[in-house]
Amino acid sequence: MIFPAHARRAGAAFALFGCLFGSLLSSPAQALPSFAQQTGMECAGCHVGGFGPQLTPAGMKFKIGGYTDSNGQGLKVPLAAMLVEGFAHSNKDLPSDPAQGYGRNSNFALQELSVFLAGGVGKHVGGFVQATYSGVDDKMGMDNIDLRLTDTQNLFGHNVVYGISLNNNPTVQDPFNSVPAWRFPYMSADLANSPAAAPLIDGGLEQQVLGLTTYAYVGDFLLESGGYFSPSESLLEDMNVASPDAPATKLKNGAPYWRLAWFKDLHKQAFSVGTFGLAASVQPDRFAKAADGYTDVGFDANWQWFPSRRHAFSVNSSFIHEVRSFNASVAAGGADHLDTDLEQFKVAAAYYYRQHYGATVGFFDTWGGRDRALYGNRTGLPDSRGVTLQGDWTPFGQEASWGAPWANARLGVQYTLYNQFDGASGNYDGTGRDASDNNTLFCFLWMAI
Amino acid sequence: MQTQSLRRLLAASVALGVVGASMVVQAGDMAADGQDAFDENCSVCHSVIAGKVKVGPPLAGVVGRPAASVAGYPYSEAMKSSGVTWTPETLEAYLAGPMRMIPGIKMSFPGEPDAQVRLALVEYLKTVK
Repeated sequence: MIFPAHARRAGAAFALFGCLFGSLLSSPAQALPSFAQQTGMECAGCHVGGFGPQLTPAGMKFKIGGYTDSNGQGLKVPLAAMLVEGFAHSNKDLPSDPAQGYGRNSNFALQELSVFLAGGVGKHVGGFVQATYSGVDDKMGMDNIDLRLTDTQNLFGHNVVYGISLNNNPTVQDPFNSVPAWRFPYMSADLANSPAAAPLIDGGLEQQVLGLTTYAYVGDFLLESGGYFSPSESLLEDMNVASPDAPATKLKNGAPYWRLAWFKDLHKQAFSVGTFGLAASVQPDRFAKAADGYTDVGFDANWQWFPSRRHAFSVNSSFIHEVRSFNASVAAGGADHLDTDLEQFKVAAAYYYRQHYGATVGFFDTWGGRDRALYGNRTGLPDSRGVTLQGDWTPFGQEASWGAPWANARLGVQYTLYNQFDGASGNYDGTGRDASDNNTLFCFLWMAI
Repeated sequence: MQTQSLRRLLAASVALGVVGASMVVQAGDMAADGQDAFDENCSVCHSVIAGKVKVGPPLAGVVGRPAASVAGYPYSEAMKSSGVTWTPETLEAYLAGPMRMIPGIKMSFPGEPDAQVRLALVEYLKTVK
């Protein structure tokens, strides 16, 4: 997440945030600052391992229900904060300083300091708005938004949940931890090299678009459709997610989005399989009408198993196929081929013991057609492949935990190994740098209050 | 003759005592099993401490009380109009398929298919006052 802009724009973002906050404060509310306060539930009730963002089936249903479930003990004003401090060490020094004020290796950084409005107001309105300060970029800006209007009706003996989501990041509104916005690794090093190629739906539009999607959860099926558009550049600059030096990705027209998932909660186990996708025309030069076409079609599957409260297993996976038509980029010399494709596969398997101790293994693989002008590396391929290993400890997060539900923390050690990076295993950039040189040790402290 | 009668009475008393004790122990075992099942299945959303409200209503004293009777808890209309009183029998039936028994309720628990677990849960709920 990058937050380019000027200080006065940070002020504007705060002003917008303040307006949203104020609108909630104007209710005769009992000030309770989190989803846990709202529901009276422990964090571990909704989050695998007692810490976000990996959701249990209860957490998924809470999200589908528009974040409105409550214990009814008064209206809450939900306010929360999050902090991520990390240390990153790469196998070999980076080719250049990763950010102003940081060295080529072994950096400590305040990666994120976020403030949230998160919760429900009555039975039909809920969501969250996140503003984040990045210590790496030394900037504050709007982060993820998911605001919902929702309702539940009983049809033929089944509850039907339906609603509308206003959000700014395709898949951020999704309840499954297999989609790009919420996949493992849930936190990674900002001050390390990462592969250049990814499908558009994997972060290419985050915070730079606004979308309205309608959804329904009927029986065991989640259906969603809607679209995204580019707001004005001045609004994005006011929210500190774009600047004249780093303009936002510009959609030429509305970008339709869809989601269909089958989700079966058997209580001890839960399964889901589904498809999601986006079709977008992106203007490489936001002042020219010529556009490149992207059609992303994703498939995902999830499995969770809770043999007892002590043990939790999960597997989350997704495959995204992206078809590209680079009319504008080829004309401008930014790509060699009009038609190309990109594939991405990710899978992560996790185990948590007593909701405190976790181990996760993630595999990622990106591959696609050759295009030297587009990728600019030695082979002209987008291929990157590797494994991420993580061990973490979540000391709090349960009903009887110290400081519950306010005190939440996760300490983690993560190691990412690359077998391929930006098109090759060895000398991928033509200067002798190997994929394994980007192997990264990342130690982090992630706190939420 | 009198001695024989006394012996028979004593034997019957011992037998009854053993049976009674075993029944108490069995109920106790079931309640203990039910507590485990409660911790596994129910405790995320329900407390057994009177007055402690999670996303589901507290279950202290649930056996014998009418449905939708915890003051201040936002019950669904379906639960409010169910007319159910939580006897051991209705609780056992409810736990088998809450939505089947009372369509339109908020509780998303899909139901406990194992009758022994349901009975154990009910035994445990009898003990929480």
